[in-house]
Amino acid sequence: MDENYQYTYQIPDLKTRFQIGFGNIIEQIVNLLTYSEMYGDTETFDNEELKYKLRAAIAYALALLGSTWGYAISAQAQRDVEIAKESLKALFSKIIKDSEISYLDLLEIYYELTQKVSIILNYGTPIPRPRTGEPEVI
Amino acid sequence: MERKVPYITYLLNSKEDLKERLKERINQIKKNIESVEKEYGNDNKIIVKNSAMIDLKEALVLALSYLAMSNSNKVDEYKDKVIQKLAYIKENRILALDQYRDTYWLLRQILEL
Repeated sequence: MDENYQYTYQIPDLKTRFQIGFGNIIEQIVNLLTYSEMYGDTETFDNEELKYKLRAAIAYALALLGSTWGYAISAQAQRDVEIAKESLKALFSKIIKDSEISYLDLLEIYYELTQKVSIILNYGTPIPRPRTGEPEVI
Repeated sequence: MERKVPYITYLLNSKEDLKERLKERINQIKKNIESVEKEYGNDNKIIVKNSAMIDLKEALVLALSYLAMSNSNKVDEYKDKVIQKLAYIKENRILALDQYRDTYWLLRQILEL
């Protein structure tokens, strides 16, 4: 199979998989934000599990942003992606350092994650570009 | 109790889809307010039922997602208000009718962005 052909068709598939992975974890976070007291978890979260989920969500979010590498996107979009990437990396570090994540922290993190991922989702359907070379900036 | 699972896929679809879901929740909240008013009159200190609180929390989390996808210059202001409301509900678990109604109006404003 032609290498470019394979690449062109793999990337959208990867992006879909990242979206599903991100969506699954975000759904668990939304459930925690919305229904936590209905399940007896009133005051504290299982912080280790939560931190694991958040790190996974950020990793998926970064992967989604990284998937733009395969597309021709505008210069402004490229800058947005770079800013979002740096924010997510900082968020990742914060989660590793913080020993406790409060409900308030979780709300802020959820907001930031959603906001950063919406940057890539707002591009619509970008056009796959050939494999070689640097990202094409329009 | 049957667990109501929100469709997080709205996040991965479009802002308009998200807006529709938020609108549905807000309409439900309006019905909840009317139901309480019908049963208890306009006593602002009446505590709303747990099921009505769940509708409100669902709407607030949806609103937070909606704000994250919006570009308005009022986003930060509303984001802080939504987070404060959710944190208050987490702490106190219940709202009186007047607080519930205030939150309803906040959600309506967000929908207009």
